[in-house]
Amino acid sequence: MVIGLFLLLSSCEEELSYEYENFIIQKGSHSPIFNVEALQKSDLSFYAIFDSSAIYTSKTPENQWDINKLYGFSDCNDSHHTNSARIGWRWLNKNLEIHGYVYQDGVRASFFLGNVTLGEPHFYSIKLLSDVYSFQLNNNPRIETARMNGCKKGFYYKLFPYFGGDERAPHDILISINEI
Amino acid sequence: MRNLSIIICVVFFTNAHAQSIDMEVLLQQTVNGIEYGGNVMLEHKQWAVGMSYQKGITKYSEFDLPSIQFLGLVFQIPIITSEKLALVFAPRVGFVGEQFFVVIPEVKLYTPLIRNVDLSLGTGMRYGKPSISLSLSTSLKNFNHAVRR
Repeated sequence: MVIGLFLLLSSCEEELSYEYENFIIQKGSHSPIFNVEALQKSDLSFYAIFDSSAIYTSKTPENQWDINKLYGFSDCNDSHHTNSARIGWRWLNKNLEIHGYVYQDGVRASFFLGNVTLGEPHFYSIKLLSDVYSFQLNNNPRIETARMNGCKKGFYYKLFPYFGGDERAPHDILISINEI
Repeated sequence: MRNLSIIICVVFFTNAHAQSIDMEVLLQQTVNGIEYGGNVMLEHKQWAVGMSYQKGITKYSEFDLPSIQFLGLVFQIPIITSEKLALVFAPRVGFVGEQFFVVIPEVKLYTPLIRNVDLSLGTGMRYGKPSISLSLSTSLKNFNHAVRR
């Protein structure tokens, strides 16, 4: 009986692993869900797919430069507006731009990682190292930025897709994420 | 975490007159693969507290990332008990990889398997996704273990 149950557990593995999770940011919203989940390893790597719903035009033209958030985490026991690291994105000049997006002791910074295509999976990674966050898009060279939080042991919460910026989603936006 | 665990165990042992020491081995199917581990708990009046350890069997397969391990406290809170079944809430709190604080909620259903050994099936959340578990438990002090929770 026990062996049978173990085999049953084993058989579920393939089904449970490596599946895309769909996040739909509803029109007029910033985020799809309220979700609290702890980061449990120092490498947040995932594939993500944007479709044509990632194409948008902001009501106020300058807001088109605002960076939306894809996925990331807050740093040890800090609010994400104090210390955090995320992948960001925006639709600008007919390109889907991907950015690194961090808060370092309350100071926000962002940097360009590259452009991605719609409808195809792309690889994203944020490594949490002792003194830096290390970002990577696809096979591009990693880009590192300083990590200001000296805390090492504590609660790190994940940060899920968020539209804005100042404006809310102008239409439903679908983002599929497969964390690995 | 280690100091807190010791304090809780000492207080529980010396003041609450624990009825039994329970040992449990477990397998948990998570979104990141199968993990194995064990719990050692001091039980008193169907409530229990103890230490929990868990480690991944499989690595993050195709990406060959190392498996991670959990060490922390486990609690057992009875929900429904009967002669042959016991439903308990068994949350765990602790650290993964000695760095990341996590809470692992789980509900377990115990039933006697053989003399002094219980089998349990559990369901909970791990890595933010549903998980299922299978465990065998026994008591080192009292030998009336069959669903005495």
